[in-house]
Amino acid sequence: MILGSLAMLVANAAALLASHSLLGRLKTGKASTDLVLFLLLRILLVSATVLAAGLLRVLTPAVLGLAGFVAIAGLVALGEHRRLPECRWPEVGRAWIVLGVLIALRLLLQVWFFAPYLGDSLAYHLPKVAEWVRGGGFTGELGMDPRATFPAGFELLETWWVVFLHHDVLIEMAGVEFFLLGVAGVAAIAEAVGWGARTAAIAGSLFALNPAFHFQATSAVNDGAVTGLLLASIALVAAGSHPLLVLLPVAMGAGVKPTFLYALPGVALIAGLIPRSDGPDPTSRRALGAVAGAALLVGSYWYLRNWAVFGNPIYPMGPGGMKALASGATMQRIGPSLQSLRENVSSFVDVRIYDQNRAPDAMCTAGFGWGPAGFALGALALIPVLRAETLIRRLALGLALSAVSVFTLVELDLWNDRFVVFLAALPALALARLWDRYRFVAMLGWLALVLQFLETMVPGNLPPDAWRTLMSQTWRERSAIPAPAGMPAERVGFSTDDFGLAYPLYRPSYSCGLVYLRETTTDELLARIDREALTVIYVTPFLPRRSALFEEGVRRGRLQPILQGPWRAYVVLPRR
Amino acid sequence: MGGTSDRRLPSEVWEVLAASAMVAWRFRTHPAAGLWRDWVVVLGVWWIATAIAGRTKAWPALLAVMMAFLFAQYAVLQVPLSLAVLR
Repeated sequence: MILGSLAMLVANAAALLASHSLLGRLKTGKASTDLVLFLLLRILLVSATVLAAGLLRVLTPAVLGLAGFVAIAGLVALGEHRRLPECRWPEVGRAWIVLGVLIALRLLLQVWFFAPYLGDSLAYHLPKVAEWVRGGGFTGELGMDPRATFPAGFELLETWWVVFLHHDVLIEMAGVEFFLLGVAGVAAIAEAVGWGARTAAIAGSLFALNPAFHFQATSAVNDGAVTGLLLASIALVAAGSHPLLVLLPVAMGAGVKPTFLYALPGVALIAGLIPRSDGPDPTSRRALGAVAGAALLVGSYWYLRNWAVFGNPIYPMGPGGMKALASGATMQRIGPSLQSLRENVSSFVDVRIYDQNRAPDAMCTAGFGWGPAGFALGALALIPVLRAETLIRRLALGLALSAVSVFTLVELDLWNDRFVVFLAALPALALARLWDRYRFVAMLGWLALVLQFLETMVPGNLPPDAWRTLMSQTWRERSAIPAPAGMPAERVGFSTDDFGLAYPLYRPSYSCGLVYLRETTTDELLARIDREALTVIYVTPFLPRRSALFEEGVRRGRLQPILQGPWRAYVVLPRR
Repeated sequence: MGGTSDRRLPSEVWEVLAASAMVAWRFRTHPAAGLWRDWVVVLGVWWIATAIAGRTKAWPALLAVMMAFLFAQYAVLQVPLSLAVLR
């Protein structure tokens, strides 16, 4: 663990120094835009490193730490360390600095304290991370969930934060990187439309305490990453940046989740409405081409892989979208639908904007999760700001188009407003604009921020049992859904037909391996179980296709069904 | 009359028309009884008020009242849900 920690420090220092070095060649000249660019470059370098190491099967702390050491040595030899900026507090007012520090410290505590708890993460985002970390590279095993082949750009960052310690205690740091990007993006948009640093800091802080966005940072889901990358794209466009620079967040966004692409028409509209004549071009064309090419590779890798392996870049999505095995209902659709648009807009304005059904969470369950600062203050502030400021009007048009596009392309469900969290940037910007103009706005605004700070302590969808479980665990064993107490230490079998929470079985330290059983006959299943010398097979409660195989195994006297808390399993009995 | 006269309607008129259409849509599609606290209606009314009285001395006071109203609505409906999670 000590060597792993050291390797993590070295590799992160290298990524920061290299990002700063690249930034020197790509600077736009605007401090807030350059901060966005710096964060993007770091995410790109980390993603590219994990991708390359994964493909080369050298995804280990030793190799990454050593590579980091060599990179630092090279950069120091080039004198890059002398170009690092001086650390100084921004001149935005003490209260905002204190708030920023408080948010940052609490985020770190949340990273430390929360373990992945959302079904999607446990079922298909994280099992592949566990496989990569255990295998020291991309092994080809992604888990059995049908969504496991979706783009995994966010998982590259998650892998970075777990590979060094061989433990997932810091896994939420991946979300924090994109959280910072989103907050910096909002602040950069404020400066790009000509507002001062203080107003930009207020806008960024308001967005940082947007409950949905805040929880997305520490919930191991990729929607916060999409929001961060989208706002970064808009910030770069609004600042008049070179199109190849804009390609950075766009390509990486596509590699995180296709919902990013759904929102792109709005970014294109903003690019069309805001002329880029005042944006200085980067000093190094070679560096610009290199980072744009790297971003394109990192973003497109998942689609190319699916194309090569399955003959379909968006596998497993087909012309009919993707259907739930249990209900047969369409979960994800392909192509636009006016009915979806109508249902989503109606659900949004009639129900969800009120946030009155549940406490906020990362998935925007039955709500928008935008807090009183957005619902009550920012929305009203938006009217006078839109009337007065042309650039904000154009941004609002673009964001509205993005939301319409997303709503047209996704099926209505209980959680899909998490795809339009970027909309909350508008009220944050508007409220920041009026903050210093009227005393009562600032008073109500602070009251809203205090409430939102409290609202963002514990996500509403963290089950009460999970909360108690996390409270009672040490960091080494911290898991929202702990593996069963009597589970074999090194290897178990796992099988599912649809969605299944495989990740907790790996344990937080990835000490337990999973053998995914995809066999389609009982003979094959039992032969595989014997070949792998498995003693226990965990299965999901809903197993419509394979349950007959396991039941036949029970009839043959080779399997014995058991229940271990929430876990359903079959114990393997010796051959008679 | 010499020169060209601008016969276009002032932008405020278009704004009032657009906001009125927004409010009318809500009245058409939702029961009137609950519309006093409908967020879209509140926003529409606020837009009309801003277009008409945006430059008057009363406007900031109106802004304060509207913000406090929506804030209270949010607090009453939502804060208990969040507090329940913290308990």
